[in-house]
Amino acid sequence: MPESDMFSDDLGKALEKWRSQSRKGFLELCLLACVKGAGRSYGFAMLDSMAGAGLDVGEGSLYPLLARLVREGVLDAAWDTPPEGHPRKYYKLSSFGERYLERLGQERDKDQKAYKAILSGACASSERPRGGAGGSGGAGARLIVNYKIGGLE
Amino acid sequence: MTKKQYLDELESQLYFLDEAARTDVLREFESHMDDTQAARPELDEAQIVDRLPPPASVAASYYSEGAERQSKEDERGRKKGGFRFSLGGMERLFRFARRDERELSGDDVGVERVECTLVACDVSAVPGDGFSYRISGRWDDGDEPRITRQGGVWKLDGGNDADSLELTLPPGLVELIVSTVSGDVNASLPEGANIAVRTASGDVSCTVAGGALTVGTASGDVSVKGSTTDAEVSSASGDLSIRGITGRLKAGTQSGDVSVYCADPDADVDASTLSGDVSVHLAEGSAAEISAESVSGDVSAPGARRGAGLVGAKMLREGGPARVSAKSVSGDVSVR
Repeated sequence: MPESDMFSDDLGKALEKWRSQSRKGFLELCLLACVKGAGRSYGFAMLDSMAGAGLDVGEGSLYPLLARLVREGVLDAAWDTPPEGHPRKYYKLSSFGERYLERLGQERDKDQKAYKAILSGACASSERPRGGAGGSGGAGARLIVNYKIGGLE
Repeated sequence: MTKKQYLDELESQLYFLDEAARTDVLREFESHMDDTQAARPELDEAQIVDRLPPPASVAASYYSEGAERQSKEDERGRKKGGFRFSLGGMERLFRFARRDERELSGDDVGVERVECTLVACDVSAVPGDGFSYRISGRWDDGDEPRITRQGGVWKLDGGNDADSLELTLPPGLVELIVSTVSGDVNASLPEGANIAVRTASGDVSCTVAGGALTVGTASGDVSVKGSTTDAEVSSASGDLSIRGITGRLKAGTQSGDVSVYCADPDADVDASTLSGDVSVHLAEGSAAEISAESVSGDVSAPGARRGAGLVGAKMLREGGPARVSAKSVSGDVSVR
C-alpha cells in the first residue's frame, strides 16, 4: 500500500472516531431545529431535509433518538392516518422542547465563539511563567483578555 | 430481504421493549418504507429494505437510547396505578426499602427442559444430581414469579421483581433456555445438554459439555468454554470469546471483538465483526482451509498466501475438510 494511502486510511479512521464522539449532541440539536423549522415533521422528511442540508443521518440513529426525545418530553408525537395513503407519525416541539432548543442553540453559539477565539490566537501565547517571584502573569491574563475579546466578535 | 422479513426480524430483536412500544416502532419503520417507495418509485421492495440498517443495529440503538429502562419503569408505574412519571432511582429506592427480600425454592423430578423468562434477574446454573431452583427478589403478593410444569418442561416467568435465580440442572437435561433483558447468565451444563440464551444487556458466560449452544445479545459480552458441537453466537456490540470449539461455530458481532480458540483440528469456524478485531487460534495440527479478510484492518495468517480481493486484505490457505473464515470490515484479523 503506498504511503499516501496509508495516511488517508489512518486519517479516515481518526475522523470516523472523532465524528462519532462529537456527533450525538449535535445531531439532537439539528434534529430539533429541523422539526422547529418545519413546524411538524415525520422521520422520512427529516432525513431528507437534513441530507439536503449536508448532514447524513441514518434511520438507525434517527428513530431511536426521536423515541427518546418523546419520552423526555422534548417532542410530542402523534400518528396521522389519512383516508388515503399510509399513516405517518408526526413530531413537533413541546413547549419544554422550545425552551430546550433555545438553550441548546445558545450553548452551541458559545462553543463556536470559543473555537473561533482559539483560532484567532487565544492560545497563541498560552505558556505561563514558570513560578519565581515577579512574574507579571501576563500570559494568563492575555489569554483571558483574548478569549473575551474573541467571544465578543 | 422482503419488508415483512425485515419487520419480523426487527420485532424479534426489539424483545426488550413492551408490546405497545414495539408495535409503534414497527409501524414507524413500515411508514418509513412506504415513504421511501413513494419518493423513489423506481426502487423495488428488496432495494428499499437494503437501504435500511440491519435490524440488530437498529435494536441496539433503541436499547442504548434507554428504551428498555423506560418501558420497564412505565410498566411498573402502570401496574401500581401510580405515577406514570418516573422518579428513577428514587422510586426504586423506596420500593426496596418498602419490601423484604422473598424467596421461592423447590425441586422436581423428570425435568428435561428448563425455560426461564426474566427481566433484570441474574441466572446461575450448575450441574447436579437432580433438578432444583431457588429464586429471590422483592415482589408484592400477586407479582411473584410464576412456575409451571408440563410434562418434562419446567417453565419460570420471573416477573419484574426477581433479582436472582439459582438452578441445579439434572443429568440428562435436554435444553436450558433463558431470556433476560439485563440479567447476567452464568451457566455450567450437564453433559450433552443444549443451551439457548437471549439477552439485551446482560453478559453471558457458559460452560458446555458437548451440547449445542445459541446465544444472542444486544450489548452483553459472551464467553463460552468447554466443548460445543454446534454453536451460534451473535451480538450487536458485545465482545465474544469462545474457547474449546470441537464442531461448528458461527460467531458474529457488529462492533465487538471476536476471539476463538479451537480445541479440535476439525473445528469449522465462521467468525465475523464489522468494526472489531477477530482472532482465531487453530488447534494443533489443524489442516483447515483458511480465509481471512479485512477491508481496512491488518490481516495475518501464517502459512497462508495473500489473496486477490477488490478491496482490503485477504489471506487464503487451501486445506480441509475443516474450514475457518474470519472477517472484519475495519478491524484486524488474525488466524494462527
